[in-house]
Amino acid sequence: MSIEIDSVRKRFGDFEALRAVNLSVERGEFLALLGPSGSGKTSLLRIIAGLDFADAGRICIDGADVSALSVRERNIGFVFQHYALFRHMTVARNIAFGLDVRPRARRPERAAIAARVEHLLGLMQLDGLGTRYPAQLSGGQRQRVALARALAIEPHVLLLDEPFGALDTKVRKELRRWLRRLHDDMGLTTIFVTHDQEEAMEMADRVVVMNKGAIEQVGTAQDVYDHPSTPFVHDFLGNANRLPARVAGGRATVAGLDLPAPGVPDGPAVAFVRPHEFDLAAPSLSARGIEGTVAHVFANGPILRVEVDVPGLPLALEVEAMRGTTMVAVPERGARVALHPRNIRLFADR
Amino acid sequence: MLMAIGGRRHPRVIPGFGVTIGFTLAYLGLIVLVPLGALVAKAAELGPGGIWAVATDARVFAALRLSFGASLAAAAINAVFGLLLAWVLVRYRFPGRRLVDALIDLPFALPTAVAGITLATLYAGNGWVGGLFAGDGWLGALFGPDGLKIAYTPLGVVVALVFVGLPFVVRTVQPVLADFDAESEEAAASLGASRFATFRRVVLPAILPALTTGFAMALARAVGEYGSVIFIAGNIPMVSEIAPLLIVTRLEEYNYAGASAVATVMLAVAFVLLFAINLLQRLDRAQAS
Amino acid sequence: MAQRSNAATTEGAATRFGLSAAAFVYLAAVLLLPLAAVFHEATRKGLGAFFEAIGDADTMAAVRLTVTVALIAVPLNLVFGLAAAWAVTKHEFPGKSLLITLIDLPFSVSPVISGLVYVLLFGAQGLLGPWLAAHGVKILFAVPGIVLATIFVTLPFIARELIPLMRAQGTAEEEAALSLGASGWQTFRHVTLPNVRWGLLYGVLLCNARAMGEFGAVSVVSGHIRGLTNTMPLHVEILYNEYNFAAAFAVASLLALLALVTLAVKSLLEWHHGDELAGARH
Repeated sequence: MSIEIDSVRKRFGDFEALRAVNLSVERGEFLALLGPSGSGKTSLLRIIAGLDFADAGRICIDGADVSALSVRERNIGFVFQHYALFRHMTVARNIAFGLDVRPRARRPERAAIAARVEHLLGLMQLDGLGTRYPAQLSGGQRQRVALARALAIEPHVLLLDEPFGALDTKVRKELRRWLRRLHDDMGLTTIFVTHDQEEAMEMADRVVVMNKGAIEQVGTAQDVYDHPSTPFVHDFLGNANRLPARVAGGRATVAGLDLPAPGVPDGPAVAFVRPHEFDLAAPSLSARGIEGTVAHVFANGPILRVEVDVPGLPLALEVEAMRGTTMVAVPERGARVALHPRNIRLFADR
Repeated sequence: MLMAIGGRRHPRVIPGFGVTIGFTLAYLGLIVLVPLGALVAKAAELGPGGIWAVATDARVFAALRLSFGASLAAAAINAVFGLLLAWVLVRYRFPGRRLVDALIDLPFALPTAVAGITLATLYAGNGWVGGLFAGDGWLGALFGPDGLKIAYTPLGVVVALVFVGLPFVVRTVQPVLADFDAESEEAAASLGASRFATFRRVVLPAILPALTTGFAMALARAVGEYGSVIFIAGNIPMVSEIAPLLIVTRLEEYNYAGASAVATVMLAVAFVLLFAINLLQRLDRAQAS
Repeated sequence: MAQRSNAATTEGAATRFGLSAAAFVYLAAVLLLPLAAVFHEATRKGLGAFFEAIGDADTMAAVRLTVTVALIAVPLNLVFGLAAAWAVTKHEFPGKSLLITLIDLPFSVSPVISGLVYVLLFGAQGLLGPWLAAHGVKILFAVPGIVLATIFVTLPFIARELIPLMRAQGTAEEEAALSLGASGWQTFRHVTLPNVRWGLLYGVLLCNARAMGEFGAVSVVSGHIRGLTNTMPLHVEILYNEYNFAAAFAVASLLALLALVTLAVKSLLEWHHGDELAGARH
C-alpha cells in the first residue's frame, strides 16, 4: 500500500513537533525515519497509525484519505517501542487478540484463529512459547511476539517505533536481517523509527532524515551518506570533522586551504570532511595540506585513528585509515603531519 | 468521541472520554459538590459576622479549642511514636514483622464506634487501663489519692485521637525510610559522625517532609473525628465536648444555622490543613527528584 | 531490602532492643489492648449471651441494613472510580488536577459534616425538604439518606487507588489493543480491567470496610429508628447507651472481625500483588 503524507503539522502546547511534513511512501517500500530525539519521527509514525491526530494536513493510504479514521479503522500493524504486550495474557492470546475482538461476522472460526497463531509462532521462531506470559520471555522474544501480534490482523502497512531500541547488540543484528526478510516475503509496506543511523542504513530502502519537526533529506542510504544535502544530515550521519570556512566569489578558504566552492553563497560557511576522507602525509612544500601535530594515536584492530591538533581550529581533527594502506608508517605522537582531504562538502553557515 | 479544538474536529485516540468524564462530574457534583454547596449557602445566610458570633460563643469556642488542642496533642504523640514504629519496621528484622506491619492499619479498618465503646470501657475507672490509673491502682497512686481520671475528661479525647491517628505517620514515613540511600549514612559514619548525629543530621532532614505530612494528616483526621471520641469524652459542655458533637447537638435542637456555622469554621480549618499537606507533598517530591 | 548488618548504618544491640521494646509496648497499648478488649467484653457473659445478642431481631435488621447499604454504595463508587480513573489517566484535559483534588475532598471533611450537608439539603427546613415532603419522598431519616451519606464518605477509596495505578501503567497497552481493532469497551474489558484487578479489589475492600463501619455521617442522617434505620455501628451505640454492654460488644465484635478480615485480605494483596497496587497506603 502506498502512503501519502500531505503537509502534516502537529503542535504539543508550545512545542512544534511537525512543521508541514510531506512524504510519499511507495508500495512495498521499507522506509526508515531517522533523527535525534525530539525530531518528530515518532510523532509522524503515530499520526500515520492514527494514535495521534495532526493539527493540519492529510494522510492518505492507497489514495484514500484516512486522516479522520481512528486507529482501529486503519488496519495498520503497529509495534510499540516497549512492545506494549498484554501482560496478563499468554503469548498465544496476545497474538490472537486482534482476531478475537472482531465482530462475530468477521471473526474467523476458533480453529482458524488457533491455526493462524500457530503459523505466526512458527514464522517468528517462537514455537512452544504460546502458553508463556510476556514476563517469562527474553527481550528478543517479546519483540517477535509484538510483531506476530501486529501481523495477525494481516495489515498491509507495518509501523515500528524504535523496534530494536531495548535489545542488546547481538540480538539486534539478528533481528534486523530477519525483519527485512519478513518484510520482503510478506509484501508489506514498512516504516520504522530509529535514532540509530547504522540500523537505518543497513535495513531501509530509503532513509528519511528528520530534524526539529521537518524532513531534512530523503534518499537511499548511499545517497544520504555520500551526498548529504544539509549540514545537519552530514553531522548526523557518520562521524564528520566540522571546519569553519569562508566563501568569497565561488572560492572557499578552509584551514588555510583554497578550494573551489561552486554554488555556495559568499560569507561564513562550514566544511565537512569524514575521518576516512583524509590522506595523512609528512608535510611537504609541493602538496599543501592542513598541517598539524599528532595528539593521539588509537590502533583499534584494523583501523587506525589519529587525532591531529591544527592551530586555529577549536577541535582536533579525526583521521581514520585502514592500517597498512594509506599511511606508510604509523605516525607518532607529536609528529608533524599534513592532512589532504580527498572530499570536502561546503555549506553556507546560517 | 469528537472534540473541537481550534476549529478542527479532533477524534480522541482512546475512546470513552465523554461518557466517563460526564459521569464523573455528574456523580461528584450530585454527591459531594451540591450538598457542600448547601452548607456554604446556609453559612452565607449567616454572613461572616454571624459565623464569627457563633465561633466566639463560649461553648463553641471551648469545643473548637478542645478539638484542635487534643488533635494537636494526639498528632504530636503519634509523630514521635509513628517515627519509632516506622524505624523499627523498616530497619530491624524480627519474627512477626509482617503481622505487626499489617496491624498498623487497624484504626483505618476498625469502625469508629467500636473503637469508641472499647476505649471508653478500657479507660473507665473500672476498666483494664482506667483501673491502673484509679486512686487505688498502682499507677494512679503516683497522681495523688484520687488517681488520674482518663475517660470522660479531655485526656480521654486525646487517647481516642491517638488511636485513630496512629497509622498516618507510620505510613508516610515508612516508604521514605525504606528508599533512603544507605550510602549517605555510610558517608556520614565514615566522616566520623556518631550514630545519633547521623540520624539527626542526615536521616531526619530527609524524612522530615514525610513526617510533617503524616502529622498534618493525623491532625486533619483527628479534628473531624466523631465516633471514637464521643463515648470516651463524657461530652460535658465547656469541658469535654468536641466540635463535631456540638454540630450534632445543634442539629438535634433544629438549630441548622448554628450547626452550619460550626461546620463552616471546621471546614475552613480542614481546607487550610489540606492545602498545607499538598504543599508539603509537593515539597517532598521536589526534594526527592 | 537487604539485611543491614553494616556497623556504620545500624545501632548497637542495646539501642536496637530498647527502640524495638518501646515500639512494641506502644503498639500493644494503643492497638492490641482495645482489640483484645472487644472480644473479651463480647464473650464476658458467655457464648450463649453472645449468640443471643447477635440473633436478636433488631441486630439482624441492623446487619441486613448495613449489608444493603454497602451493596448499593460500593458498586456505585466502583463504577465512579473506574469512570474517573479512565477519564483522568487515559485522556488530557484542562482542570485535571483540580478534579483529582475534588475527588479526595470527602476525606478531609468530618463525617458529621458529611451527614450535615444532607440534612441541610433534605431536612424539613432544608433546601429541598418542603418539596420532598409535599411529594411524599422520604430521604432523611430513611434508607436513601443513609446510602447517600455512606456514598459521600466512601467516594474516594476506589478512585484514589485506581488513578495512580492506571497512570503508572500508561496508555501503551490500550493503544495496542485499539490498533488491533478492539473497540473502546473491548479494550477496557480485556486489557485495562485485568491490569488493575488487584488494585480494584484493594480499593473495594477498603471502601467496603468503611461503608459498613461508618458512624458519624450515618448517625446524623439516620434518625436512629430501631429495626428500620439502624446500621450495625448505630445499633452498637444504642445498645451501649442502654447499658447493654454485652450485646453492644457482641455486635461490635462482628464489626471488629470484619476489620480483621479486611486487614488480612489487604495484607495478602500487598504481599502477593504489591507491584500491581498503587501503594496508596493513605
